Amino acid sequence: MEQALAGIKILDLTHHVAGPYATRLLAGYGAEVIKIEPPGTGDPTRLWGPFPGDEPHPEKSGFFLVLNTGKKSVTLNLKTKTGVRIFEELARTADAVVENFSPGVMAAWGLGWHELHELNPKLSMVSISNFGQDGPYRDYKANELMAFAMGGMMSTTGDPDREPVKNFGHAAEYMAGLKASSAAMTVIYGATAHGGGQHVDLSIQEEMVASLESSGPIAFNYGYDAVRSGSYSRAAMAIYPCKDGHMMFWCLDRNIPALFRGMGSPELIDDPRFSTAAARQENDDILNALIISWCAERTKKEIYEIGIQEQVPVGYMAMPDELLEWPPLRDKGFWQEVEHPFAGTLSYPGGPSLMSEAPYVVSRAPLLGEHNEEVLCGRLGYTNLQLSQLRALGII
Amino acid sequence: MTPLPLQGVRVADLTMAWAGPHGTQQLADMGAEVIKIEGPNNHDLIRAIVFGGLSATDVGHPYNKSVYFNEFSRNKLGLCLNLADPEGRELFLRFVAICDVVVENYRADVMDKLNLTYEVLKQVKSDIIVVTQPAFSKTGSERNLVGYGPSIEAAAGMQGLSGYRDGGPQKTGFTYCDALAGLGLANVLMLALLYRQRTGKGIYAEGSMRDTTLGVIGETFMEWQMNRRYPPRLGNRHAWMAPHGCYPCKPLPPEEGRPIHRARGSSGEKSTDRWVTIAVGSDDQWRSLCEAMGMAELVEDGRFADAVSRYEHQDELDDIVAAWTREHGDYELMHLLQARGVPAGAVLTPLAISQDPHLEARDVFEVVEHPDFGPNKVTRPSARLSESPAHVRRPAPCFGEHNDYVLGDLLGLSGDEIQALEEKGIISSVPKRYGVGTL
Repeated sequence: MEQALAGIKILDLTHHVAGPYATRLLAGYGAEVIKIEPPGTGDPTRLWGPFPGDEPHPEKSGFFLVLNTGKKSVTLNLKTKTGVRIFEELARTADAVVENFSPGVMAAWGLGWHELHELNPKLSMVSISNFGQDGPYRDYKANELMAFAMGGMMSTTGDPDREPVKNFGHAAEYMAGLKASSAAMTVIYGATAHGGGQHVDLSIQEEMVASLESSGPIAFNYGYDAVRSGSYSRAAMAIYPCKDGHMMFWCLDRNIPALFRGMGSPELIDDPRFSTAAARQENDDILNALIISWCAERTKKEIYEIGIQEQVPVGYMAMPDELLEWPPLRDKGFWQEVEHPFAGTLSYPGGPSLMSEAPYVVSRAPLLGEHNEEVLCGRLGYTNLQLSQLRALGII
Repeated sequence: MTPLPLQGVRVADLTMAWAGPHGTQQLADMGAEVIKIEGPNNHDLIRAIVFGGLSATDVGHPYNKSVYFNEFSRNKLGLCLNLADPEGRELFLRFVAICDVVVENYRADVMDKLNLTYEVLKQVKSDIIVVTQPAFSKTGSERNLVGYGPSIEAAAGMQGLSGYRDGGPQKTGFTYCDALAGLGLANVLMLALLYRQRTGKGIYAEGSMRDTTLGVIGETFMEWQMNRRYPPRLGNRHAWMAPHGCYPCKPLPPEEGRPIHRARGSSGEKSTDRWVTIAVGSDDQWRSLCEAMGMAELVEDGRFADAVSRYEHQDELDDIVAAWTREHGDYELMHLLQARGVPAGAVLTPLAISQDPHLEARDVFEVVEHPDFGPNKVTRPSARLSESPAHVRRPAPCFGEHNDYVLGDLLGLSGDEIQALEEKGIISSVPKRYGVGTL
């Protein structure tokens, strides 16, 4: 059984979250991903943790490990001419370069799109940045907080009478990383179909701007803004406390009869207070109170089971430990156990795809510079003596 | 001129609502011919989300005037065909024979009941790619669990980890999971297309919305396994940076307030609140922030002298920063701090986004002329290509707009035959049950 991207070669100049997530997916699908890291320190996420027992170690960062499975690591100092030359040698046979340096950095090294395109016309390049490769905010500094705030979704997240709040973690960066992974596959597809690589300029902010459901299009076309509505949109479209935690209900009008059946009160389907959307709107408080007291008597699991049985759109408010044990995820092999010489054996998540003919495969994240010899000697013909020279010069 | 990367790829798109169409939009934007298929009795439910309500637009064709639908279905064509009718199903199979991809996000049993499984589709086109986007899973115990973005993102851990420090789980502002899952679907579609390009073989694939969303909290699974804990709710705070938050700014004067909408219509209210995000990750940035605030003495203040002290005293720190930001505008603070190298960003509302100078300079919006809606402002394809710049080539399709193109030009039916299909109700250019039981 062969993986979908077998034979595709990616040069990975990414760090932090968005870029590494993009190339991690490509590696999981079977592409060869050579991650270029600065000698000595490597990707900054090697310092981010979480670490087992909270003891920092560059090969034990949970953040780095989960974002870099399946890649090879080559250390290369691109601030040296020799480092750039070695990179160019690798670029001659690669399908795509993925990078997320600040705009202008690659060009300053002589590795901008025009240079790379001339070097290898079949090569594609995907550049991920906070605000894009040009425009007035190009050089503005940002992390996930700014990306989320300036992409628009934050203004509608949180309670109406409080400050906007970001999503957990690195939601905007991951989103852009997922997009970048598809963009890389798209231009690689196009390079084969039509002959010739392309450069893709991806802005994390713009990916969020393109993700604003109805609130974006309404503002763009009618000039009206959406507001924050917390975790309550209307009765049965809200988060409800239950016996041992919370459940999310998201019942459209069409799901209301199933909800009432699930609550064991089918008579409510024809109750004039709730039988039409307009009536439910008028009696929203009453319906909400009914759901509150029904949930209070039940556990998450009980409500979830009823949801499956009666086809009620409920969301089990799951925490990471519950998800690691979630039987349906285990049954379909979503988690893959992988051993790592420093971090030990851990379960890693799969990818967005389930393709039995061409599976997503997790293999461990690389140690810093682990593949220097394999790639430089095995692929490019450097001798071991030259390798030690490069090491002494601080190039690898 | 280099063709768009996916030129020559044809997609039969059965997806509805947001997550599915957002996925196929990615392919349409990159040059694929995506034909959106709706039924005479089953229009895409978001055609019923019309600003001002259905009655406000009952002049003309309201189902073609949903800007929500029109944003995420631009660059696509539209076919209306009843797949539940034997003749409609036969026509669909004839169409599949000239497609590269069939993609759907129906409830798990729908394609089975229509007898349009991968096995069946493969018989009319041996290398067909079939991709399904279940909420959770097409097989196993969660097969019948219905899900939409907000309930799926709860089940994927995103809501339980999100929220204010002193609050409970937080639903995302409409709705992270759908947008992400749309990109996840595009990811699976591209993967399948590359697989076929390389091997010549078709494939069946699933792109689960829940599984896609799980990917973005990957580090928490590591943390649980390493230390048997997961991150506390941090709100806008950071694991080690301080200050790191969202601070109130001077409100807009009432006359400059932003008109707001609720329940798909103007509420007559205006909002005037403004917010700025600030993140300090180094001593240099801290010094710059103090100087910008006109409080250089804080640099020497023992409570805030180094990163660890600042993190410990961030309640006091947040009060100091907020007292300063309250006196200024959001953009003013962003530009002032960025000029000094401090990461800062205004919290842009959708309306602010539509007027932002940077996004304007980047040509993020394009206006297409929609036959029923008129000038329609949509986002430009977000992947900027160097050799074949992608644009919005056509507005979203009106309901059944391309019936003649698909059935006549592509499948070779005569005008009379198409007319007969219309009379039998197998095709239509008007939804038969518009807005009924959809939302």
